[in-house]
Amino acid sequence: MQLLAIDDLSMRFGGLTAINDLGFSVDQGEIRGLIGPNGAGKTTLFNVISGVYKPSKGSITFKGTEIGTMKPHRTARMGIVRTFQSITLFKNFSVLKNVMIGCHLNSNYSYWGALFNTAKTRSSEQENESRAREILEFMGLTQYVDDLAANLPHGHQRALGIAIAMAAEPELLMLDEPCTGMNPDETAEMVNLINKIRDRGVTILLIEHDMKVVMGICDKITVINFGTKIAEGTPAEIRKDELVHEAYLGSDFDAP
Amino acid sequence: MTENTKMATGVWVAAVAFAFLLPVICGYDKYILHVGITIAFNIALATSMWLIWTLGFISFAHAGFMGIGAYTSALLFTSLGWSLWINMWIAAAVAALFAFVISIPLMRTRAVYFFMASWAVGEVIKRVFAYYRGIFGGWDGIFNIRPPKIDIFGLDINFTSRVAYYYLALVCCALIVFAIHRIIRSRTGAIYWSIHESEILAQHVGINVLKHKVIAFTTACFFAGMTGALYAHYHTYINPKTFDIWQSEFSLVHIIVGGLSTLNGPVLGATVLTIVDELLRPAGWYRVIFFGVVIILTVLFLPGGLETVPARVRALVARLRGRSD
Amino acid sequence: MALDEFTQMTLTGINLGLMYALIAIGLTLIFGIMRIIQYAHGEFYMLGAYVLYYWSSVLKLPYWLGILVSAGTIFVIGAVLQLVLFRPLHGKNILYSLAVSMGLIFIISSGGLLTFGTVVKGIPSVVTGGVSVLGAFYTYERMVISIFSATLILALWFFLQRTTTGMAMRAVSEDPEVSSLQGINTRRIHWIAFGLGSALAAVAGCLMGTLLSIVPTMGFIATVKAFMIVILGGLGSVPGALIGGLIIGFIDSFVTTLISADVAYIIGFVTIFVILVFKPSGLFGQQWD
Repeated sequence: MQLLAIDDLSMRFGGLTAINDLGFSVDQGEIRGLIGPNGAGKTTLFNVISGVYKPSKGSITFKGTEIGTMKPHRTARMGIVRTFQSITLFKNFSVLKNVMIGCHLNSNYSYWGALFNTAKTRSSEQENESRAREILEFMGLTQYVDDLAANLPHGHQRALGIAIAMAAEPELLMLDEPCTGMNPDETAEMVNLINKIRDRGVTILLIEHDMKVVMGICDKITVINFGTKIAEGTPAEIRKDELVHEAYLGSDFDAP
Repeated sequence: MTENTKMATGVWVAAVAFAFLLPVICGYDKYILHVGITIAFNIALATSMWLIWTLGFISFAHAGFMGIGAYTSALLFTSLGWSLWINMWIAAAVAALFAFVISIPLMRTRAVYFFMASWAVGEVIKRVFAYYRGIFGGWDGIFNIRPPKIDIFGLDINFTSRVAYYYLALVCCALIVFAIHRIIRSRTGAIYWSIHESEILAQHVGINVLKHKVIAFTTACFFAGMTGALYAHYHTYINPKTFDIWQSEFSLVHIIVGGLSTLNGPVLGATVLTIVDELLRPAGWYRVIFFGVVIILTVLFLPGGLETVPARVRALVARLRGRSD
Repeated sequence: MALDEFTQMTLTGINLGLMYALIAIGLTLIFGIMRIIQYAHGEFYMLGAYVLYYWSSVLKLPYWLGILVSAGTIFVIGAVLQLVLFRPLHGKNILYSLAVSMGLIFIISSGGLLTFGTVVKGIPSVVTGGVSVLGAFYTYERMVISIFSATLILALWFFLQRTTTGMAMRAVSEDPEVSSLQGINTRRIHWIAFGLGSALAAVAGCLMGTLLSIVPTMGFIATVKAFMIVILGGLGSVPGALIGGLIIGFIDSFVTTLISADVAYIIGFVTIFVILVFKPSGLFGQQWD
């Protein structure tokens, strides 16, 4: 079943065209890789899908609803949550509180309830906390629950970023270079985690430069260059594709 | 942590008890009660300004909204004869209404731009009061605003009495501080701080940042408007200068010197600095110089403000003990 | 409106505008390079005027040299204050530098009231006489001051475009990180910019003090005007500050004469509010985050 469909999408900033007539779709339950040389428009695409930018042209449909004009908090409510290339956390909050803020979206909350600390608010708050703890356990961060987010090691900060996103209960999780700056052990852990998240029924759209990771876990890969799709297929097909080789000029692409 | 929380609660209870007993302690001294009332106003203004800070903003228009409250209440009194009991709420509501309307464009701005845009809003409010002489009395302001009376169930209190007004100001100030405390301790507060920490992340986990900013700004200005009404009926005279940028700046000084990270900060800062201000009154302009020095020294050498002093002292004591062992 | 009245207002507008531009260029340099709100900028304008007053009215020393002395003194004061007070706060929340400059306002303006007294003073002018232009009387003094301001702005423009230090200043203003990677000593640029910006305000203070009069409280109004101009022209933009200065100068001249000073302020503030909300980069500036 089709979850996300991008059709004829363009994004221009002044004279610069970052995305140019791009079209592809993502099926429910798959891990889709999004690759391309630096500056190909991958992160811009995430920003457009999540609602940071309004597309100049074209449509984005999610579960049959047009989301092109929605702001980030609305797309998050629709079930699209993303992480950031540079680690973005609530740095001065505890790890638990970070995830609890993520849980906010799917909890029972009202201004007046919060102000008067009603029974309903209290029980919803407890529910939030246990959900947050469950997510942290799932992400393997239990040991850090009370630590300040800023004090976590780099790899675990990335995992916390994903934990916050998971707390918002996404149907489509967009990961922007989750393995950047990680050593091979940490990368293996992250790959494992991404697979586990998919097994929970979450569809994943993944930008990643590490070809081992992309080739290893993606069901399908979309390659973009200069804001347009130049190839799409299974990892095996992409590896053989001439255009892709050209775009990458044979760089780190020969890796298995 | 829990021990600290308990201690903090203890200090709070003691402070409130002291405030309630103050008239008896000082022997109904009119001047001390006046200082007490001034402290109450300054605390209300500083804490409500701090509420906006929890989202990462400092609004230089804050005193302007206090002015809107003061003028609303004053005009209702002078033209319709309504008492503070009704005016206070209308004043707060009118200030909040203006805040709501202006915050929708205002909240599009960020960081430096917000400071400056809010500064422009504050100046426009002041200059509108000054320009429309017919309605607001121009630079001369409005005179003859009277404190209210209570005359029900055999209870007869006239708030022209300093003691009575002291209790009125104290109760209102306590209510405002308590309300802000509840907001900050609740999930709403957690959301506010999360916007302070990272607006973009908050947005991407589904928090409607603009909505929260508008509500917080409106709420804070509601309290500022209420404070303005209380101010007007206490001083019986208001003019545009009372509510200009300097008033906002003094509140900012209170917050910075007191501390930015918890509600204790603005309360502590407003209290201590108002008292110091009164003590230094005979010093004339040297008093202002003193304030300048205090704020610069605080920023450079005590960046967490007065509220961090107990923790610093504890750490120092612990270190000294460790050394002597 | 009679032609002579119109000419008079135009000439006043240019005159005011150029002096406003001097103050605002100083402020925009400091903002662009250090990214702080230098709220006490107008206080240096006031101090500059008083230095000239003591130099030429009290000590009876040559007027034009006095402007140079004033600029030099304020440059040193500004640079030292940057090194002592603002450098430690670099990279922290702008609230802190804002608070420090607020502290400076308290200290300098009250210190000024104590030292200089509250009496309005004047700096005697060195140029007398005037000429009739399209029915309006134009004093040589105002003419000289306008030319002097314009020359100074041009000189500054050359400094920023042609000299190594000037180009380094522009580079830091455009991208502090990249320029420090390229080997520019940003810490040095910071105190130079602060000193230079303050000195420009001081010169404007000297000129304005000669034309009108001086009081220790004149600083804050100058700050207000400078911020209006800088926002209008775009934070960090020097050409923006020049054009913004002229626009505000004209608004002040025309609206104050035809309606009232309060209306001029209200129009000014509403304008900058609208600009901040809808085009925060101003007319010429770049967007900062």
